[in-house]
Amino acid sequence: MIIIRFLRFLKGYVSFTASGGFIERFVNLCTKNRIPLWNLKRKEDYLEADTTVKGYKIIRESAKRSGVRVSIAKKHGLPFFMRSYRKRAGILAGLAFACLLVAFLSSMVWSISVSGNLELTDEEILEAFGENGVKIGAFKFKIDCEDVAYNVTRRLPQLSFASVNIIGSRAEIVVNERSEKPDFPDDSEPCDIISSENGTVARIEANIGEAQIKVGDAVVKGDLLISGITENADASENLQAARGKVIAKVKKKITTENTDFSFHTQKAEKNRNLLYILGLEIPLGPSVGKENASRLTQKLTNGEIELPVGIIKEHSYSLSDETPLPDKYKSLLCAKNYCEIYRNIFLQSEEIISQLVTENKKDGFAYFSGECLVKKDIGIRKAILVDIS
Amino acid sequence: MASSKRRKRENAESERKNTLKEKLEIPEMLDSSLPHIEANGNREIIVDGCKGIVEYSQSRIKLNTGALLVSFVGDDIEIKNYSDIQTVISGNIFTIEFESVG
Repeated sequence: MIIIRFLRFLKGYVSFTASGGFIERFVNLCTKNRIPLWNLKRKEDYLEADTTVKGYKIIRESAKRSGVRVSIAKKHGLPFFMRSYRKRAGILAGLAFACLLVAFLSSMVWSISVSGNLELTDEEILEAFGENGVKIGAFKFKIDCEDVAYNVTRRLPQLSFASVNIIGSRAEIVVNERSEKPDFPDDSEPCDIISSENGTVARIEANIGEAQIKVGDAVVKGDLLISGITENADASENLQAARGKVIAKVKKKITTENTDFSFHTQKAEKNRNLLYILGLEIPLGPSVGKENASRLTQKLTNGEIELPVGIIKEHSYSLSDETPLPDKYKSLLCAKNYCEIYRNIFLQSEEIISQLVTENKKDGFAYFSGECLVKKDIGIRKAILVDIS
Repeated sequence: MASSKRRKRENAESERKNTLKEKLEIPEMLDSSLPHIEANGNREIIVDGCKGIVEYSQSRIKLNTGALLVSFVGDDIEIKNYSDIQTVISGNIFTIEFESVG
């Protein structure tokens, strides 16, 4: 029904009233003369109805034969609307120009989204695609999606897959990063596993080679833990790459005494906004310079699609001379350093058995030291040098 | 005299047709002499094969459908669309009446 109404609007139609005479005969004659009628409403002494412009032009005959007087109540539709504005050519020209402008702008890319990247930044990916023609303001028909995807995967070897889909005026970039091949130990060279730290052996997992220590043994740095030389039943020896883990209880000391730290403060800040419209950047103030400059682009978005309109905020600052850290902050710095060291120990260990933190005073500020007992793998590989001469 | 003979002939022909239709069990829907009327509740009625309007007032519309005269009685009834193929009547319809022609 909406389509019929729209078509009627496009072609134009007339609402008319018919009064006097024989209304029923008038309607029947209209049908006989192929005059379409709709929205017929019978009032007390007249009839309201709609018909086409062409139909109304030939309605006189039916009216005359049935003794009915017809008069136009209202004209509807695009032809009548256009006629009322025929003397205002500027409006039509503006409408035509707007249509052409929309058609022209629709042939360009105005929004680019990137998804699927983990290590690579959006900027790196956009730069690579930009070199291949996928950028804001590029013509869509000039972009060969397959070629671009192939060139980008060659330009960025970190990517295992790249594709670009053009949807309307939006380019959707989808990438998949290559996962790094894990480092497998080189088993081609014979080697032993020796101790990297002092400790007490808690567990031994000798996969290849012969364990040279027992649980509970104390080892010092450099001691042989798993030997790559194994003895056969006939007393001959095999050389192989030893593999395994030796978990030992190791004491770790944490000291954070050194707090000689200096820093720079921001001296002067400069800010500037730029209006971003369809790839154009219109500055709204004087330049902020290039020293420690950063920029933040905020585009109008509905959460999914970014429009090519927004504001760019530029910020720059200059730094003061080096300033030593005031005493009152040194304790905080010590605590921060302690946490960082502790975190590293935690990440390298299998288990933290115990820890003891001590607060000390020096030159008016507190610093921290501590001792942890951890379980960790202390085995490292050491090549067996073989003289083949 | 001649018209009486013709009427008799027509009646006889009509009876023959009806007998054949009954024998062959042809659905009434396929009988082109009867109108096809479709109603959506009492708000809208679609009549196929309307031959003309006999009466049109605010409370009654009477249509000539060939073999039958069909009257629609109600409040604020109006003809949404009128053509010999399909006529759409809308409004608050209370009654539908049928009258045989001839």
